[in-house]
Amino acid sequence: MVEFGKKIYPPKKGATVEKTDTSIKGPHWSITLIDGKYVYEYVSGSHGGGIKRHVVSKEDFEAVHAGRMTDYDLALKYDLS
Amino acid sequence: MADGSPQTPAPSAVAAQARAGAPAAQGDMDRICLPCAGLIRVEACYRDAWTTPLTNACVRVEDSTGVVVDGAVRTEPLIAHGLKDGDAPTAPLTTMGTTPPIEVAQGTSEVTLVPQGAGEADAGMGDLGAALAGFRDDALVKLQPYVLEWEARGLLSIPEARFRGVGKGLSAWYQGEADFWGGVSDRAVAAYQNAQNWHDAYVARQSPFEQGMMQYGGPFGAIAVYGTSLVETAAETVSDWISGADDLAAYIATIMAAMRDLASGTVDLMEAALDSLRALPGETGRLFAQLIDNGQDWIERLVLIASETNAFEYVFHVFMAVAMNMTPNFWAEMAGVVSGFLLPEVLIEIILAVIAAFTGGGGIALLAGRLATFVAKLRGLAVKAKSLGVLASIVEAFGKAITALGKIGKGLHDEIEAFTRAGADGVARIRHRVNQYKVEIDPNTLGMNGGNIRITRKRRAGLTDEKIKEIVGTPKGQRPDPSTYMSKAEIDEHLAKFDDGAVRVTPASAIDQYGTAGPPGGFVMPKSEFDNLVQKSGGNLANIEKRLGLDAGSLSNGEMVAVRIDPEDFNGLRIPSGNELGANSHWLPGGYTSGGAPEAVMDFDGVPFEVMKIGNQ
Repeated sequence: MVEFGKKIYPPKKGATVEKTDTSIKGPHWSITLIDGKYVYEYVSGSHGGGIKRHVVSKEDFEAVHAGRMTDYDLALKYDLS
Repeated sequence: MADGSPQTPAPSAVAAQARAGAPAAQGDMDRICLPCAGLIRVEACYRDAWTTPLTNACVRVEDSTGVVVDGAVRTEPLIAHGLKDGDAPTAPLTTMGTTPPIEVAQGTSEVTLVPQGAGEADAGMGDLGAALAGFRDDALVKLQPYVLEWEARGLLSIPEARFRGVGKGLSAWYQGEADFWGGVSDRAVAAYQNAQNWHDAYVARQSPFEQGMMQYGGPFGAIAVYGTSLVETAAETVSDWISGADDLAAYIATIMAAMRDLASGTVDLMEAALDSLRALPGETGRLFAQLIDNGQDWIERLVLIASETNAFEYVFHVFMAVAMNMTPNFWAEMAGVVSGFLLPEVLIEIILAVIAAFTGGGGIALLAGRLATFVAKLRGLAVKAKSLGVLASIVEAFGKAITALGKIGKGLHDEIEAFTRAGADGVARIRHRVNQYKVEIDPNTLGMNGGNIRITRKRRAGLTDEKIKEIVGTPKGQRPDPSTYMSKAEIDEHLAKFDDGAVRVTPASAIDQYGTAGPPGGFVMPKSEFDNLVQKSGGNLANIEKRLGLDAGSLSNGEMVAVRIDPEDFNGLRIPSGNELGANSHWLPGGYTSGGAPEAVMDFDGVPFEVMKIGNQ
C-alpha cells in the first residue's frame, strides 16, 4: 500500500532483467506466459495511463528473451502507449 | 413465352415493363440516375468544449461525376432562424452548422469548406496591437499621479477617514493579483505589503470582541470596528445603480478566476470561464447564460481568435495590468472606503465589451450601448470623485481599443478551410481543430512606455501547421528531437515551468509492483499547474478526475495517485519528442498537451517521489 506524504526512494534498477523460461521481468514491465498467452505488462508513460497489458506472440517473447528485441520495440510494433 | 418456358418473359413484355418503370427512375437528364445517387448532409463544428457549430461556411462537394456544389450552399447560420446573438431563448437549434441534403453519386464524395477571403484578420491584428499599445500608454499616464503618490506615501496617501478600511484584505488581494498580471512597479507592490502589515498590526491590537466582529460581523461588524460609515461612501451608490440589489463584491474571486482563464487565450478555458459567470447573482448571471445559450456568431469568433491568435492573452493582460495600477488611493478617492466595490462591476463590463466587440457592438441587442451607458454613469458620479472620471475614460478607451476584434474574428472565419470525405446516404462530419494553448506574453509590454504589442498568429513553439503535421505524421520512434525545431530559449522557458516540481498521476499498483512512479520518458505536469487544477476543483476528487481525464472514482478509491517529484530529483527532464512509450495518438510537438496544458517527460528509474494527499483521499 502506498503511504501519503512520505518520500519514497526507489532503488535504481537500470536495465536489469530477470528471466525464466516463461517470464521476463524488467524494471517497469514484464512478459509472462498466462493460460498459453504471452502477456506484456507495462507501466504506461502516459499521464494517468495506468498499468497496461497486451498479448504478444511467442516469437516476440523469444526475441525479447534472447535480447534481439527490447520492450520499446514491442511498444512500437504493437503501437502501444 | 418465346422459348416455351413458363418462367421466361417475351421480349415485348420486357420492353413494356421497362417503358413503364423508366419515368419514375430516370430523374433529370443531366443528373445521375436515381439508383446510382445518394444524399450527403454536411455537419460542421469546432472541436471545443461547447462543440460550437461552424456556421455560414461555403461548402464545396465533388463526387465521381465532378463538382456537385461549388460554394453555393452554406452551413446553416443563426440568421436562418430569424435570430441574432443573445436573442430570447428558443428550442435547441439542432440544424445549425449543417446543410440540407445534397445529391451525390454513389461512392465517396469529397466535401470542402471553402475560404471566402484572406487578409482581413491580419489587418485587424495590426490594428488591435497598435490600439492596445495606445490604450496602455494613455491609461497609465492618467493613473500615474495615483501610482506616484501611492509609491511615495502608501497608506498616508489615503485620508484618515478612509484609512482603516484599506486593510480589509484588499492589500493582500492586490499583491497576489499584481504578481500575476504584472505591469506594476516594485515600489507600488512594496507599498501594498506595508499596508497589509499595518492592517495585521491593527487587527492584532483589537479586543477579542472586535476581532470577532471583523471576522463574523459582516459589513456592520466592520463598520463598528473601523468606525467608517459605508453609507457615506460612493461605493454603495455605485454598487446600487450598476447592479441593483446584486452585490458582485462577494463574487470577486469567481470573476478574477474567470479573468485569468480568459487571459489564457485557451479556447476551452475561456468557455469554462464564461460558464462560471452564469453563477453570478441576479441579472448578471442571467445575462451571461442568455448570451451563451443563445449565442452563435460571437462564440465562433471567440473560438477562432483564441485558437489562431494571441489577441486574448494581450487584451486581458493589458487591461488587468492597467487595473493593477489603480492603487488603493485611486479607489479610496471614489469609494471612501477602499474596498474595491466597483472593480467587480468594471471587470464584468470589460468582459461584456469584449463579447460585444466580436460582432461590432451592434450585433448583440442585449449589449448594444451597454458600455456607453456604464461610462456615462461613471462620468455622472465623477463630480464626487475625480478618479471616477479617470476610470470612465479608461473603460471607454478600452472599448474603442478592442473594436478590431470584430475584424479579426470575421477575417478568421472567412479563412476557414476544411476537408472530409463521406459516402452517399451519409453525413460528412467536419470537426474543425482548434489550438488549445496559450502564448506567453512579453511582460515588458505591460508597463508604462512598454514595447510594441504585436498580435500574431499562434504557432506552437514557432511551428507552422505544416511542420506540426509533418512531425506528428512521422512514425513513433523516428520523430525529431525538439531541439531541431525549438530554440534553446523556448526549451529553457518551457522547462522553467517545472521549477517548483513536477506531478505525475500514476497507478498505485505500479508503485507497489514495480517500485517506480513511471517508466523512462514518463509524462509529468508542472506542480504549479496541478496545484491550480486542484484549487479550481475545490479539492473535489470527482472534479479532479474529470479534469485529468481519469476514470470516475479512480482517485477516491486509491487506484490512481498523484506523486510529486522535487526539482533536485529530476532525471532527464525534457520536452517530449513524441517517441516516448507514453506518447499516444493525441500527442503534439512543442511541450503542450492537445488540451493546452504544459507537459514534459523524465526518466523515472531510481527517482524519489512523494505520494500527495489530495482532498479527502
